[in-house]
Amino acid sequence: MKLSGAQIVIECLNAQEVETIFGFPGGAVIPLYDALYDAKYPIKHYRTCHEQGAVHAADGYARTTGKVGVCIVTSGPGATNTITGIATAYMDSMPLVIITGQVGRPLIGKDSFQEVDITAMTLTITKHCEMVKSASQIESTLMRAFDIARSGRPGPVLIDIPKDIMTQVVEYRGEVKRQKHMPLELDQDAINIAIDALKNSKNPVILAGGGVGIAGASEVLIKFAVHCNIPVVNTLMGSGAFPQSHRLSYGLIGMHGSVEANNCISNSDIILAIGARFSDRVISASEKFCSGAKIIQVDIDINEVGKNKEIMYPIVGDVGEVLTIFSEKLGDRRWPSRSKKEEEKEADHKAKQMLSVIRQAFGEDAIVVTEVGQHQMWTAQYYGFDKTRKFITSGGLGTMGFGLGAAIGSQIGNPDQTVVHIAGDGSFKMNSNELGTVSKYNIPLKTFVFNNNALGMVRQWQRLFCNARFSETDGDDSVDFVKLAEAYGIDGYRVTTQEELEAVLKIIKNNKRPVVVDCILDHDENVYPIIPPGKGLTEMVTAFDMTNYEV
Amino acid sequence: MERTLRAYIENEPEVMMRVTALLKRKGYIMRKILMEADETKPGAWLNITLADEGPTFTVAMNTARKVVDVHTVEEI
Repeated sequence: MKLSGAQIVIECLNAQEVETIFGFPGGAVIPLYDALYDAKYPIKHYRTCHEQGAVHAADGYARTTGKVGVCIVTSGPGATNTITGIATAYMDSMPLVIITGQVGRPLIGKDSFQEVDITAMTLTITKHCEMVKSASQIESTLMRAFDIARSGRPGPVLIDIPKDIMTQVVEYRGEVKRQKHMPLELDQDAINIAIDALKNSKNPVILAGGGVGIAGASEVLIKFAVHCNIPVVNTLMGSGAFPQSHRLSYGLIGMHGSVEANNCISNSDIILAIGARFSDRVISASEKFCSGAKIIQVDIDINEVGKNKEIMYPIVGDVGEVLTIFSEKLGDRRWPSRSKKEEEKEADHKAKQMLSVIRQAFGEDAIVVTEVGQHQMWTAQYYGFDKTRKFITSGGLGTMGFGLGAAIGSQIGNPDQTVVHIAGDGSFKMNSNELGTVSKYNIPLKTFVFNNNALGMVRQWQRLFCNARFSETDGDDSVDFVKLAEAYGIDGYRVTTQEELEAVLKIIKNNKRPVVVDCILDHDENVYPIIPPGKGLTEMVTAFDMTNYEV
Repeated sequence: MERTLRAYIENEPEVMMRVTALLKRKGYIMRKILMEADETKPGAWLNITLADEGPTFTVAMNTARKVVDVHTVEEI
């Protein structure tokens, strides 16, 4: 049948079973939105307030559903506004397809109105990007885009479509089908050598990274760790890959990891790293990281193996598949339990108490989305995640302003679940315009702004490492978040104590309305432990140390 | 010492741009870049000569292999 390029885009989205799109219309995508207006398929479009919010929403949708997130924006500024969102998804390996409009082909290269070379701009932050050159290529290009985005190590794919191609009418056959992907062939010798090394170890530890959740390998990991009685530590992105309430879980490692977790991995003689890339926030000073331990690294991406840390036993492949082989070949091998030392006495603080109250109210099944900063680390440390796809955060790029958009996408992808959005006041101000989207679609997000009227994390670094010279981090531009929420028609509350928060939670817990709760904190509440720059995992500074230091 | 990788790629400048951009980001020093269309096949050949600095040559080969429209990579 004869269809326009824009209609073919809709057909492809339907062929990929896309039900939800995020985006913002503009001149170069008018034909596409016109085709969407007539779409006979159940594709629901959510219009955000800004293109960055649209990509973060598609990202949150992808992170919580495991499906490909889809986003449509116009050319020029519409396209450039997506860049931070695309880079965020790329760093955390999230499958997105971003469709950007482009000026018509006769106008390309002439500095035309709203023209940028978006494929050139996104070369290093996408898994793939290309501009469609004729309407007859749209089907194959878009179908391939989805395959690329979700296959192997997932990632964002950008497809740029000139406006005149969207109106070009060509024959559409719908012949291109979704690809089935062959699993990577595993190197059995490498696996056997690694298993022998593991068998001979005395104090092994599993390091669970974000790759576990992406691969859907959490259950295999739990069975393996429990069967072999091996303790598990997790990276930020690996939160929930292994239940943090389990006796074998030692929790978060790295710069703000727990004392128990950092000591556990540092005292191990072999590390089995599953879907973890040894980022600088995890290993801190590379040369000091577990220098006495041998490392087995399992990852689907060959370029991640040995990239940040020398690896003795590299294994490239699907982490679930490799763990299954490990389970089979280790047989009844079981390691003796390691003593779990009580965490050093740590100062209690209001943020920790508030997170505890929020956790009690919404439970382990809530999806928790954060921005970036102190509140993000406190959430990772104290909330307690027992399942994957429950802790949604920008780990790799560390994008302040990620949370609200991502929470919108998370809630839309999971309408029957509670989505809790924990924000810092600095991050929240970056993209709080998306409260307009929340209000428009009555998305029942529960937003808690941990408001210390400061850029807390940077301020903390200035306090610890710059002799408390607080350069541009104290917030003297206080915003009334309750009034801001109310301006968007959203219920707003302000709490200053745990008791006040408990009272508000009783009101909002079961209602289906969006809400913003302004939680007032002291700007001197800091995140501990912290590993100072250049130090190793065992050189943590704890709250207890700081108390003594200050005394 | 210099080493050269040779890749058979889709004959599009974006492919060369992506490969070189990724290598640059990883800290490679590129001494020579040559892309030429194949005379008999629809693709093109991309030869990149790297200085023996930065990450290992194997990582460079694997980086190029990951790019979607790169079909083969070998050392010459």
